[in-house]
Amino acid sequence: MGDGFDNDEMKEIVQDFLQEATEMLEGLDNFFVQLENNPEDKTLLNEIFRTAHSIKGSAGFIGLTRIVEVAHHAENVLNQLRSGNMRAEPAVIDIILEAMDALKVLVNEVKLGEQADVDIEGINMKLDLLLQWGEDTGSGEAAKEEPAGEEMAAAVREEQAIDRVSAASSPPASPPASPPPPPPAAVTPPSPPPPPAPPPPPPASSGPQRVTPAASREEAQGGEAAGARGGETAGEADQTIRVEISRLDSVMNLVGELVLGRNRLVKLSGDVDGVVDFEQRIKEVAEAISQLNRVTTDLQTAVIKTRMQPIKKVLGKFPRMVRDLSRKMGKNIRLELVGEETELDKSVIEEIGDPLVHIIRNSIDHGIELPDDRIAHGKDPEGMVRISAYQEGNSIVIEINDDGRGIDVDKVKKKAVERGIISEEDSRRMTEAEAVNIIFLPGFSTADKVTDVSGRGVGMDVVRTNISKINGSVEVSTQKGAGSTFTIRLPLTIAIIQALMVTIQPETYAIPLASVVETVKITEKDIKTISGSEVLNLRQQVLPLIRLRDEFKVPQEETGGTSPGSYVVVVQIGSKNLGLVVDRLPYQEEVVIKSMGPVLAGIRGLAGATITGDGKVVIILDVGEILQDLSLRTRGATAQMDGMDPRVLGSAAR
Amino acid sequence: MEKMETAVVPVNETGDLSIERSVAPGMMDFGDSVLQLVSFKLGEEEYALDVMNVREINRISDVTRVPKAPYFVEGVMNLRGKILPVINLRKRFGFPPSSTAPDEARTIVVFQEGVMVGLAVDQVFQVIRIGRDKIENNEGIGLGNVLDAVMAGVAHLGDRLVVLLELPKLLETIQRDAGRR
Repeated sequence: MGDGFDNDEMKEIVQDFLQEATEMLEGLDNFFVQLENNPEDKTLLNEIFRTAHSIKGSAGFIGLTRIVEVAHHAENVLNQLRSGNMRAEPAVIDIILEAMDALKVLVNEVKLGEQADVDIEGINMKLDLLLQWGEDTGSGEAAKEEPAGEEMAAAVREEQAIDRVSAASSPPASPPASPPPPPPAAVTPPSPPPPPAPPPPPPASSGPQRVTPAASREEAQGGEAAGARGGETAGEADQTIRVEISRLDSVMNLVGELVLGRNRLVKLSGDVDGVVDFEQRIKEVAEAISQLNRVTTDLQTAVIKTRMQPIKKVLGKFPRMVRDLSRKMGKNIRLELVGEETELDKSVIEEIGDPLVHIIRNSIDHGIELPDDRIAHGKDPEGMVRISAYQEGNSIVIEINDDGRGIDVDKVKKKAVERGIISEEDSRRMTEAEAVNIIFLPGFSTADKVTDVSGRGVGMDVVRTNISKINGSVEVSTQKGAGSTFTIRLPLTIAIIQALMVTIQPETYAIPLASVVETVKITEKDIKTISGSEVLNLRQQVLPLIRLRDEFKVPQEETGGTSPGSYVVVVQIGSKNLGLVVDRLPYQEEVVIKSMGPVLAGIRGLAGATITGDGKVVIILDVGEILQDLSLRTRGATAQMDGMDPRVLGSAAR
Repeated sequence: MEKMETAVVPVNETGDLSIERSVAPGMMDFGDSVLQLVSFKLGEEEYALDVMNVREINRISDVTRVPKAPYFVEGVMNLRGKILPVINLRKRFGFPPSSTAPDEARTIVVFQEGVMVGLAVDQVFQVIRIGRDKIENNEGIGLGNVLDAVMAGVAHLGDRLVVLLELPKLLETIQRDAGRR
């Protein structure tokens, strides 16, 4: 498959195809989900047909026969849908989506250059059966072609049966808008959604194109696994990016101005001979510098803009995911996307996908109730998950909102105590808003049973870790019975952040300003200890302290005249606060985060490094990791400390 | 070819030797039989790396200490806007601290499969051309230490012994030990 492109031109064509095909397939996923809701939408059907056709066309041009084969069979089915001979009901869409997944794997196979394990025959056979079945039902001559039809349905049921269903007794998710086409007479029950499926009847022996249940099971599992794999690799960093010409033009223009500015300075520095009016000259230089300053600032913004991509790129895969999950679980869920055009840095886009998947899965699995429950509680049987993205100041906010049962805060507390994540004392002291955020702590899960969707106790802490990796934060709020809202705040770009510079003589470090709450000037005697841990009593709240000098083993400066530890930088991650004791707070600055390379990657507590105006390297702290490590190290001590009444401490301090 | 066994190119006095990759074709194409090495000193001992592994050689300036880094990491420095981790080869090999003048000290910037590090050495000595047959090919001579594991061979230059290091192995062990914190 991947061989035979030995010249660059061909490679380029293949690259273009891969990018195009990946985008188109993602688009198709969503089209199909839309189609399922509006099976009669002719414009949509035409659009789908055109897209599928152009994938087939380009694949054929490059000679990717495996893709062409599947695309061709899928196109036949689409043609039937378009001509109205078949209706886009869930069972049909299931198979088409399976074919789309196969296409994704096949496209990825070209990307990786190694043959993927895709059962093309099986997929094609299914599509053909679908076609045949559609024709049969379309023409009404059901009885004659009965075996094929039955097998079709059997294959579909079999496929559904292997989806491990958590809510086996759930009723159909959505009664189709209009009755499905009459199935072949012999087929009981018709194929519609969703599981629970009875064991499939033994397939008719006379079927010429026979799909045995075993074969179909293997295939379906293969497809599922392959789909997941395809999704993962797609989530990995793309090495190319598409940029609007207008954005590049503005970069070009600014670079032009930059060159002008440089020339001006070069000229000013060049002819110093015979300069009479030095004051005038200094004024000119100052002007040139201020022009350079303006241009570089604009250029910075313009270059950042070339890296910005609409969040649609991530949100695009969710309609399909929500559809598949809700069908699997027998729930009826509507996904609303708001602000898809909101732009984020490419690197943020790449990192935010996984956490969003986790949150949405969680909302669907734990949040949204089964339709019956919803009716019983006087709600619309159709649940709603809304993802909205918007810009707020210097950050991007993504909200994931569901109208499900909400998070049971008492249960969260109870589970957290049971699992030893917090102490009894903690649980009593915590406010609702604090307690609900326990779900982000490692090892937490409220699920009594583990489903394959969520509930293994990994997930929410990964969500927080991933988000704090890109200097973002996540919080959840909930209202019992009315749903929950996850709020993710992300920096506009992860490459450049505002940082507070702190010194621990003789060293300087940078703390991301996003996690800084306040700074407090203290003297040595303000620091108290509780069972060995140092704390600060800040406005009747006990704040655990870390001396960065000890933490980082900063060499003591001999000439240190000032008393060390004169400022506390209060940082917050989630609902946890921590005070970092430093010597001085010289300034704050916009810094570019740079990686320290593979050798130094993974040092806990360090996010990277930056280069300051004077060319020195300054290490940037990872406040999230410092906090995490602290709570691991001193869990016992902290629990004890938190248990104490801050007023007692206050009086002790006085 | 055979005549030109060992030619010695002294490093110029100002010290900053820059070896661009573009220089490689033509100038250094002596076939497989001749190696070009950058030799450097750790104390009185002489070591060498294949010139093809060396990006550039810099003075050591303004190294920022990295807290919690492995003991053999000197820190990070600014290499034209990139962050360059600097490995102290003395510490890496378990040698005592240097006694030579610090203004002789250099970082040899090496690059291998996406990993770029600076190797801090006491002094960069020479660029050596040497026939492959002059190198005693022994991967380790049974010293059983860190150095032993990253040795490619020993070059005999008159009565001088130059220990040839194998960069991929050196970086591999550094990365392995860095990850083991």
